Amino acid sequence: MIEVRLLGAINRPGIVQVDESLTFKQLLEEHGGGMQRKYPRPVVMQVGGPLGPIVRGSRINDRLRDHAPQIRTARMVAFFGERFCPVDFLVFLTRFLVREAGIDTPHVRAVHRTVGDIAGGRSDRTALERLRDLAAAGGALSHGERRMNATLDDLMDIFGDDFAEHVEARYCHFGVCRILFHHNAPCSNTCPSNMNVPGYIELIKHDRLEDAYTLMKQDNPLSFVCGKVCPAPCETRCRQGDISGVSVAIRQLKRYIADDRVASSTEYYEDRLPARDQRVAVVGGGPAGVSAAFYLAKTGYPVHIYEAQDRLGGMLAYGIPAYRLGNHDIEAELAFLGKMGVTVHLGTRVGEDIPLSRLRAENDAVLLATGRWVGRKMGPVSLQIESAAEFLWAVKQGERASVPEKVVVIGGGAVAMDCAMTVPRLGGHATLVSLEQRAEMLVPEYEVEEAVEDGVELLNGWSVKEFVSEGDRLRKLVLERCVRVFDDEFRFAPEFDPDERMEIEADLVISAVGQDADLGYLDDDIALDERRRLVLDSAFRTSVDGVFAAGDIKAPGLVISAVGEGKRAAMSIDLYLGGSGVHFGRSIEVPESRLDPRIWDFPREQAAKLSAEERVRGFAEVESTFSYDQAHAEAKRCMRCDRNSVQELHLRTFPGKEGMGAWT
Amino acid sequence: MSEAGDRELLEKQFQELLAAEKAHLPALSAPPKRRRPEPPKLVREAVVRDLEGRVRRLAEEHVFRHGRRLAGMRETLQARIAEVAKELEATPYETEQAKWLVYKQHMLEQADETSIHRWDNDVSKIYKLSPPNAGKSITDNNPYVNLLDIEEFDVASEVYPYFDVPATWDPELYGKFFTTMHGEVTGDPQAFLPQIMRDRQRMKEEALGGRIPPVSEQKETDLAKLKQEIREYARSLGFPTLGVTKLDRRYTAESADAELPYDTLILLPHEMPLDEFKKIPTDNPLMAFTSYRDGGQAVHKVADFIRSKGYRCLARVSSDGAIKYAPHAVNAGMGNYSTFGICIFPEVGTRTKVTGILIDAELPLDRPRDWNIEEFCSRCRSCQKTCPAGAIPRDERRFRGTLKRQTYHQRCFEYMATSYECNLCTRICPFSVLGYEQCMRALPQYYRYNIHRDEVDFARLREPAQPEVAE
Ligand SMILES: Cc1cc2nc3c(=O)[nH]c(=O)nc-3n(C[C@H](O)[C@H](O)[C@H](O)COP(=O)(O)OP(=O)(O)OC[C@H]3O[C@@H](n4cnc5c(N)ncnc54)[C@H](O)[C@@H]3O)c2cc1C
Ligand code: SF4
Ligand code: SF4
Ligand code: SF4
Repeated sequence: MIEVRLLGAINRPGIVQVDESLTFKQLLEEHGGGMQRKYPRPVVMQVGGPLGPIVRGSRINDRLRDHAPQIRTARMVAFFGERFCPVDFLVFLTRFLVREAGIDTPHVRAVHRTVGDIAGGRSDRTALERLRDLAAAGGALSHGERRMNATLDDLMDIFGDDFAEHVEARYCHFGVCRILFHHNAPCSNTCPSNMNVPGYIELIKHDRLEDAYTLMKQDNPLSFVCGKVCPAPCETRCRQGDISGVSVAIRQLKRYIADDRVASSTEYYEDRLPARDQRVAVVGGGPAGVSAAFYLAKTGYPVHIYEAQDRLGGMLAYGIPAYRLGNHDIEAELAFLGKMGVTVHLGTRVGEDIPLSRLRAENDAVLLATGRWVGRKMGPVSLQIESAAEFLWAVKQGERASVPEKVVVIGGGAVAMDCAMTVPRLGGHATLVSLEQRAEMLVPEYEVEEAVEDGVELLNGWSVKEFVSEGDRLRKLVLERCVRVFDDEFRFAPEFDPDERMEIEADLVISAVGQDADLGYLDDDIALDERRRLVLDSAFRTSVDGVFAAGDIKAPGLVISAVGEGKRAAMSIDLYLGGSGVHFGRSIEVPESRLDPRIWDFPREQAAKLSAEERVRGFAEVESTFSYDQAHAEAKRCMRCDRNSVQELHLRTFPGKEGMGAWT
Repeated sequence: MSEAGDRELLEKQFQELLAAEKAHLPALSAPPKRRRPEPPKLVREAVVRDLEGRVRRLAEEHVFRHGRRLAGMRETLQARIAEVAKELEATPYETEQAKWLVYKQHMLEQADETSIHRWDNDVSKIYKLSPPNAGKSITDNNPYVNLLDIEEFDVASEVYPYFDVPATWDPELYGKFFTTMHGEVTGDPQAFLPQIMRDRQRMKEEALGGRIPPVSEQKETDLAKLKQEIREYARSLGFPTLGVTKLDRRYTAESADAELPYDTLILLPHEMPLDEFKKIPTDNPLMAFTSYRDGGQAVHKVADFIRSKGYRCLARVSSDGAIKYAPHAVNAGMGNYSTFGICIFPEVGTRTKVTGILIDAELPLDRPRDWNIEEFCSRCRSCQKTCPAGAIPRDERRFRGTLKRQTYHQRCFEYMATSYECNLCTRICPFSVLGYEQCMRALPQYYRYNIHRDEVDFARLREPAQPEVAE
């Protein structure tokens, strides 16, 4: 038995007595209470305190004994989650060595300077080479320095791409290196389109909603839409939330601004740079295509959007159910496109109505933004089995106004949830079958609760084993217990218990297990990889000159990530066409008012919602917008992180050689 | 005196000051072409600082004596100071650099490790050697005090112009001001002041050798045990934590030297109850006074307790300016500096007024340490963004030998004096309101290593490793 301190992003940190033959996994689950809910799995473990080796999370079945020698320096085992940033960790570690451990040597200082440069946004690729050299340094070093080198080595092995991202994109996707943050705020940094959240929140306080909307559009021309449907990844990284436990209602505030603007005026001014003569074609009028078109048009390019459907909006118009987003809303927000001189060709399917090669010949650049519209289906070919995409499309088009009595939805994600919640609104009873346990579903808990209130029955931890038909009618599904979804290495590898089975009746099955991109219209010279995915670089370039791609076509995402990619693709296209930078709009000055000193005491405002009864009556929008008072109260909760100093913390030198050594 | 009279007087006093200062200035010349980033601006700063300090005092006196602000007067004087500063800016960098290096050389020759130089009121001399200073090496080696130039810091420590203890509670000067204010807020003009004054009085008398309660004949010889006993007793009186360090006389008022005969300082932060504290700003703007009053009474009790254990000691109440408590608390590792300059204690945040006891015993010292507060603050800065007076700067800068955010106490003071109390910076601090543990959850979890640092075997880590044998 040994005594170890457990720490990290776990539920029960503390000192425990354990046997050395235990695995990390046992240690974590039996003694540490598991990872905190936000981080379902450890990203890395560290054994033996701050200078111990860093072990990949996938080695969770290693035994404690395998790392026993390290435990001698410090009896600690740490489990770190998704907020483990290797660069910030090294900044911490070197400061710790100098100040707490009293190991203040030129070698430690050199590592500190180098990682400080990276975290401070002053580095380039050479910084990484320098780090590698430092990690390999020999000579007369103390034990502590040697350990630091080994730790550094581990980190560069495990987090190579992340180091590269820090130096090349000057970006910390962990949301930890504060000096690299977009707009100096963690919410903006996390937003896939880097919206200036604190800026528009401040403008609410001053009732400058028109400016606020203009400011939002500098990063997101679909702010109104996002105000209604964005799952708000920013809110998971809001400082107010980190500190008090309850984040600012960022999405609702955005909605408040956009609602006001879009409802009160259809006349708003869009400034544009003088017209240019290079033409750009955009294939697909979903969020990615619209976003790119918006910024390109502002910059002066004549843009043509080719859209297969009769309406713009992509999945907004044909996927997201009307109780969350109505078509009139999309139209209201997209009205600007016409005013900006964007030509929209509706009902024009590229590949059928017009070949891509012709667009390439007639335009100086082409952006592919056709999303993923091919729903994956399970089971036999049957009229009673539909893909989620088909189902939602038909409902939103008004082509499907009813469902049979017993509907089974297969899937554990947001799309499955949309299908399941649509069913009661059409008079049916929905059963949702998912491999994942309720807490593992990729949907916020409040949404699951709402679904249950709407009458959706959840069967979590089940998989569909068999489809049972009588004649050509589907009758039943045979389910098998799914004991776990991910293996210890955290790969998707569901395991089943064949002894535990059940049957459920089904008149209609909706398969919501993912969608694929239809790339059939692409010309042969556009490269696909071995898994038949589009080959794209970080500047959204395909393998072919002048052809770009953005949005879901590459990988499934969110509206806001499609918007962000559209924006960045526009920048890339502008660069390709020799432009001098995309025009985002007039600059808005954001005032600085005082924070309310009771900032931690205010509860988060809750928007009014329809009751479950009212909800299932039809497709009326479930959630409403904040009132004036609510918006002002909520805006007070924002800490205005953007106003913080961007100075690095100082690491002092000492008059004598001892420094903190004098104390240890 | 009439307001016009006030103005005239102030203007006259300022002119005199300026003339006196100018007599000591080096010759002014054209601005240099090249500027270096960190010139030790000691000479220049000294003059400006001196003027600022004196003008502030003049203004303070006018506020307190007559209970009113002199509209525009302070601004006028500030403008003058700015003019002088500008002229001084024009002093060639090299001239100043050279001058400072000469000063510094002299200082280093004269001083040993424990002595410091103190500011000399005579600007032509700048510094004078002062007697041994027990706490010097603690501050000089404290990793959590960003000293850039120790000699510059020695002579120009931040407590300027504390040749004297500020007369914060002088009954004649301030009494009327405070009682009026207390009466307006609580309905009782005597709500705080009499008790505060009694405890201050007792402190003063004891410090000057009069009426000290008897010290027990029986000495507790185990000093570690004594420290523990004091800790426990103090806790029962509302002091959640305690720390011990040596007095660093760069952080004390020179005129109070005689009142501070012992060098070992026990720091006792008195906790303001959370529910009361949360009534700031609207329902209890005088929270700080509650704390001055209750902490003052309690610290005398702790001092009596220490005497009962056989040691001589002197209590210092928190409303007193002779000792700067924040730097000492940071030296005692009780916490780290906040963004607005005072010490954040994990136990109470800034929801406290610190008191102290000087003890004639070598109690075991506490060591400075990292509570991750600097790191947390870098992601918070709420105090800076709430301060109604704009007194808390956004960035750190070089300030008299250190790198810090120097809260402009002039701005703070003026706001305080004209709107009862303020304390918004302490009120908003999440360490005070939500608690330390909750704040720590907001940082990446590896910062916890700092908290458990005692469990790491540093001695082994500092040993040299065999060159060839990698671990
Ligand atoms: C049911 C459902 C619900 C969702 N809910 C949310 C949500 O609540 N919040 C959120 O943030 N995200 C949500 N998403 C994800 C989000 O809708 C997508 O990430 C986003 O729409 C992707 O944008 P896109 O522009 O890349 O593609 P799409 O929106 O798919 O747009 C592609 C467009 O290209 C057109 N097109 C396709 N092929 C051609 C062709 N050959 N020629 C011409 N035009 C063509 C299509 O008609 C379509 O208009 C949801 C997705 C689904 C399926
Ligand atoms: S507090 Fe405000 S600025 Fe900071 S992360 Fe949250 S929303 Fe963004
Ligand atoms: S309010 Fe925030 S920044 Fe200011 S001292 Fe407190 S924790 Fe630090
Ligand atoms: S007390 Fe008030 S005025 Fe003074 S620094 Fe704090 S917030 Fe600013």
